[in-house]
Amino acid sequence: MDALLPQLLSFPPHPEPAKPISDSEYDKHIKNLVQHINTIPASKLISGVPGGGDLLDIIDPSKNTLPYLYTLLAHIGGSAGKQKSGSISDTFHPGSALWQKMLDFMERFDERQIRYAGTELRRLIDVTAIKAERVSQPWAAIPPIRSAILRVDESSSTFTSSHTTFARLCLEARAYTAALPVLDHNIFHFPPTTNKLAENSMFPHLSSHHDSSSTFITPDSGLSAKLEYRHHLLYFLYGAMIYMGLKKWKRALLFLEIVIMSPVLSNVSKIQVDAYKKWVLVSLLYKGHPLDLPKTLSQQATKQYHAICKAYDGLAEVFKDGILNEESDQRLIAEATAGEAWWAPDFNRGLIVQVIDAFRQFSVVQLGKTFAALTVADIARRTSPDPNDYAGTGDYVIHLISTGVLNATITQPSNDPASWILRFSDSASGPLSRTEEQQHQHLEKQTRKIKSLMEHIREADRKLSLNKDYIAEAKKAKKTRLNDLEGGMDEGPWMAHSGDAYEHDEDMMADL
Amino acid sequence: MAVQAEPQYFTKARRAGRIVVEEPPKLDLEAYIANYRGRTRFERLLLIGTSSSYLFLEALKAAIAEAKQGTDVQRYENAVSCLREIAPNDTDATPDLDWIDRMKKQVKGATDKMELELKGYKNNLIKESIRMGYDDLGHHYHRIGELSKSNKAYSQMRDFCTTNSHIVIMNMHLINVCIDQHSWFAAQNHVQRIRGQSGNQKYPEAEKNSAKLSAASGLTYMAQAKYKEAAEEFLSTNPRMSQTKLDDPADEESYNEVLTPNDIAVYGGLCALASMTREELQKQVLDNSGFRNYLELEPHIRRAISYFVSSKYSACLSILDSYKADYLLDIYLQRHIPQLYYEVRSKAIQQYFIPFSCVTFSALATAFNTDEPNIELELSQMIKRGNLDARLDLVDRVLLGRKVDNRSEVHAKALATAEEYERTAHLRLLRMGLLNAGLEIKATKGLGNVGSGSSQDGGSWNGGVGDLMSGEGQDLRSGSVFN
Repeated sequence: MDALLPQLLSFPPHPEPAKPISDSEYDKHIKNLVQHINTIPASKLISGVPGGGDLLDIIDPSKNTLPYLYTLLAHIGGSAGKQKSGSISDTFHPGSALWQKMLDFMERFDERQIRYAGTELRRLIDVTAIKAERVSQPWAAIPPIRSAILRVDESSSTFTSSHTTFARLCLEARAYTAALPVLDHNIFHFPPTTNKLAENSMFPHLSSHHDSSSTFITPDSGLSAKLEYRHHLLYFLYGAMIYMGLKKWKRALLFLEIVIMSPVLSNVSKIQVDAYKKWVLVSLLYKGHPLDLPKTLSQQATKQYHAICKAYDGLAEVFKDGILNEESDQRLIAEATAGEAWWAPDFNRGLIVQVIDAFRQFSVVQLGKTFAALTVADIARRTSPDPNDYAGTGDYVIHLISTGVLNATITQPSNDPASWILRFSDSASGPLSRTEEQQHQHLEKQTRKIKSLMEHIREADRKLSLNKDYIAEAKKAKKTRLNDLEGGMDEGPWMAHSGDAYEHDEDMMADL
Repeated sequence: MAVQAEPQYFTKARRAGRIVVEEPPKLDLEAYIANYRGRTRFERLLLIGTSSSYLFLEALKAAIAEAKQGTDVQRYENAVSCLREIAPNDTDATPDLDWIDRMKKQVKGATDKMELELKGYKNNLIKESIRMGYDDLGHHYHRIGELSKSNKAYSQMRDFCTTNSHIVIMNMHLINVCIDQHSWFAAQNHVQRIRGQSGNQKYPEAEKNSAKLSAASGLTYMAQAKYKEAAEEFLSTNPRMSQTKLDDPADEESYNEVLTPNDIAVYGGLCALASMTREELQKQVLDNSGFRNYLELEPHIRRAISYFVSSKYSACLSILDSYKADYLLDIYLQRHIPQLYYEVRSKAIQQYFIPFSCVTFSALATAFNTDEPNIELELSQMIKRGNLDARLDLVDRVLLGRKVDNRSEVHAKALATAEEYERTAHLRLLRMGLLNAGLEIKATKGLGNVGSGSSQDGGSWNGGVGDLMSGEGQDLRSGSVFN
């Protein structure tokens, strides 16, 4: 044991050398270290140090991340071995000392070193999640996993299996707001199957700085389990449901759309069907009418959705017609009652109730398209469930204005609610209008967002161009084009230096 | 005719959403119907009989008499049964069974004879005789009301036509049959075919037929509710037809087996009013020397158009209103009058409103011959249909023009476009990423069918969150907690 400790702490050097180690040096050393730790049996790691004390008390997780992580896992797994195989130690549960160590570790591990122990980190995350769920305390696992995800990948733009685990925990714990730090980051990449050779030559060292997290979170890094389509579908569906819980309809719609438009080989998945149903309802809640399906969707999938979800599509039609023709909500309620057999098994009853509520809201908003001003009595006659309930209507309208649904003002010349006057404002005035300044800010913000999106697109483009299939195709295309040009000339002369030649059309032609 | 209680038939018809006209029309039935020839006489009479509660008796009796002169048994039976429904006690309401029997036999005999003759011609292989045979047969079927057979007979003539004018004659027949069948699209096709023909090689009757073609084509467009195209066709109708003597069956110019020059003026005028701007009306209708010949036949249409052009909308609308009953009794116009009148009216309101930023309802009501509640209803409908870019102020009772702040509008639009772009690009990027990572949704063996609900992911999905959340009777997936 005495010999072990210096070895474990041998890298990174402490105190830090004045001149930082180069990336390749760092890479070499840390790979050695990983190899070494892997040879140490778990029993040795948990046996403690001579003179009393645990390795975990001695090692600083922010400096010697790897040994700490291995020891921690050895503790968690080790005590399990003593009881019954397969289960996790009882000493590891929310509130225990070991749990505290895990929390500490998740907050403090070194972002560079952890990349060399992706599989181990994922094991820790999984164990934490399982343990918390088993004792019915899912909320306990949320903060450590959240910080682990965000610390490994600050932009959280590459999808990992841990994302799904995290979203599920948040949903189970109903900790919707706690989920937002992760969910609010857009996912842009999935650990891709790329041309490893090419990739490695460009980013040889895991420890170096990467522009995009998608270059170090790869299928080989272990930071994500082997992904299946279910993982990402569930993540986005869970995410959408979390946003629905917070009534952030816009974001929920985006998440649902991602599920709906996921590429399908033959039949759509049941998760997607569930997402489609919720999508129909949420689009009613957000816009007041059914939206068009994303254009990227294949015709076949569109057909399948419509065929399976007729009840939902029908409800949406009734809703839209009702708003346009200024009907009362009776037809919608009848439709919703008739479809009870569909909503209940899909667990959508709550959304349906909200859709019915939203009908009245959108009816009032719709009035603004036709009218500039009208009395509460008029509004009650046109939109309220009880046309003579002026006081209730007045309160409802005030509620809509104060929650920012309605860009309008209300004047109360007398105490009689029937005589109150609602004035719809146009876009340039009224409580919801934006000043020039605000509009400018919004535009700036949007520009920034698109710029960052462009970065990701460039990255994805680069990755695709390294794809073996792509290169093969590109070569083939080039060849046929050339053969066409040269009348089937022998390809020999240009193939000889075609290594990067197919990127430079002009030069190549000049050589010929 | 003495004013009497409205027969029940019309009350029912009105309830069923059909058009019923109570007001006495300006036209004199006998004079009106004398202008027409052929099948359309009966059709028009029957329409008046079933939709005017004022003229029905006269019209139906005339229709029965008309049918009895012809050979179409079905037609006669229809007319009689209509009369029986409206006025069961009338003497004409009992069908003349003798006549029916006799006529049926006679028609059958004639049909058989012609079919036989045609067969004979076919054996002789003389093209011209075969063509004539089909022609006769087509005529015959048309007369006895077998319109689809007639259409078929005429169509079969094509292979035996030897000259261009034969083809033109055939197509003219087909147009008439198609119009009687109300298959407007086919009629339009035949018109185009004749026009295409006259384009590359002149045939002698080209000039003579052009008026009829325009009239038929305009009619088909109008029947398909394409008012602008209809107006253009009618307006370009060759003026030669306006001089026809309608009572002279030998006059080849006349097209009164379909419509009269007066009809052209009315149809053309109304379609133009409904679909053209004031400048267009002035240029293409009032200053149109060709169409003037027709307009002179119906001076009130001309007056209505010139009132509209000079912005005297209420005068224009009151002329139209006073003739509404007549137009509602026209066989082709009836279905389109509500829409045409709506378009004219809403265009008038739009034009009226242009110079104002706000107008009181009372001013509008006076300008358009109506009262405030009606104009309010009308305006709100127009706004809803997107015909009027304005909003109603029910408190001050004024119509307000929409103020547009172009600058902020553009900003808002730019923002929306940018957001949409970001969203689409993001979705596509993800899709690409998914494909690149090999994460397409595959059917799992034997379980992959969504329809059966047994897909593998479904199982895990339900086992995952569904169960978990429904534990406390209040499940998360339901969103009941979202309330």
